[in-house]
Amino acid sequence: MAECTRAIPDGPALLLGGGSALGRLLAAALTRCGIPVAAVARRAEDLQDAPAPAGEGGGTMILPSAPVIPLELHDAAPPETLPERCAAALGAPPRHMVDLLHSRFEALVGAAAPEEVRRWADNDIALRARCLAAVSRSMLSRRAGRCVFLSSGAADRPAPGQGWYAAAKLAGEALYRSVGVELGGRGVTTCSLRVSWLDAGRGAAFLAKRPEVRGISPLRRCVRPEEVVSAVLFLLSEDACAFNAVTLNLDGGLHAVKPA
Amino acid sequence: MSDSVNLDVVRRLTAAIFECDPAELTAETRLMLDLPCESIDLLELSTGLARACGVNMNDNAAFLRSLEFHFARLQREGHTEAAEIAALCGPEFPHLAPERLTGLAAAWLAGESGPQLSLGDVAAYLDHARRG
Repeated sequence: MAECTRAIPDGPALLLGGGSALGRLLAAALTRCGIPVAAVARRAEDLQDAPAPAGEGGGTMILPSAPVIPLELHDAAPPETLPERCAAALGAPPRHMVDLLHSRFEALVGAAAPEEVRRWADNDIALRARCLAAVSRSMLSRRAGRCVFLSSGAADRPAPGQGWYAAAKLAGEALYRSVGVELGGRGVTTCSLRVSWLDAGRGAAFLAKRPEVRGISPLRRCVRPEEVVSAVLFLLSEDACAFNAVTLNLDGGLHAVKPA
Repeated sequence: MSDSVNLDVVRRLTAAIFECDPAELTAETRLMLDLPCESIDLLELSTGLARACGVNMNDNAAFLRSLEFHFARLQREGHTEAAEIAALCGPEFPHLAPERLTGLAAAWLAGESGPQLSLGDVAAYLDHARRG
């Protein structure tokens, strides 16, 4: 179980994609650190394993103290309202944001239909960009904020069929990097964390089918979800704010290995 | 909320960004010409005003970003008098008084360089936004 070993500045944390398996672990860890958490989810299925719904207006709970804020591109509560919805749920706008949103669209680049490409751009790039713009604006007004983007080792080493996923992750890294460049001097910093195969969520299903990939990393195992949570807790801490506008690898050295 | 209160908010937030005395700032202070203002400073001013006043800021309108575009378009269409250009631009900038818009058009026609955006213009936008 990941524990808080360093000081995380007070203030609410928004977890984009917080209904995922990793999001739930992170929400629990942040709660143990005394950080109020709101999970932001864009699909009902992201919440399917969540405990019983409570409240109104999408107030499903993933933890007793973690309200879920619904996120859509075209509804009456768009990404631009995230800071005020966080303030309504937790008493203050976000001081931290961790972005775990990920694409579910996998296809060979040449096999995607035009409508799929438009939907991918809306869901996997524009939605993230609008969330980041809205939340970073809110953080700028207080000159305090930290944003961590969960990227993927596939961003620069995609398997066939992961081109759209990789492009969305690269776009996210670029956006977060630019916010760190633009606002770093005014108290808002960012970093991206590239994670490799993870034994959680969709990764667990993949590893069940391809157990041999566990041995490719120099660690001879996959990075554990708890290790990702610990790394994110560190990156949210005061000690880590100089990790700004940067992309880090958390893959046990997988990115450095020459394919056999 | 009176114009002077809105101006006070704009002066206070602007002074905080540029680390100067609010008393040094007036409605006539031009952000881009009299202060070392860059786009990031306008963004911070916008977010500060949104937070302080609870208004949804439209940065393009508040900071007159399309003003010169409209002036140039109208000039190309054959309008050469400042008052005429100001009248035709009025609907695009409903927060600006006709005399202010005329002054901006006259300055542009006279070739005065640089954005003329003043703290008074931002306060006028704030007043307009607050009145909805």
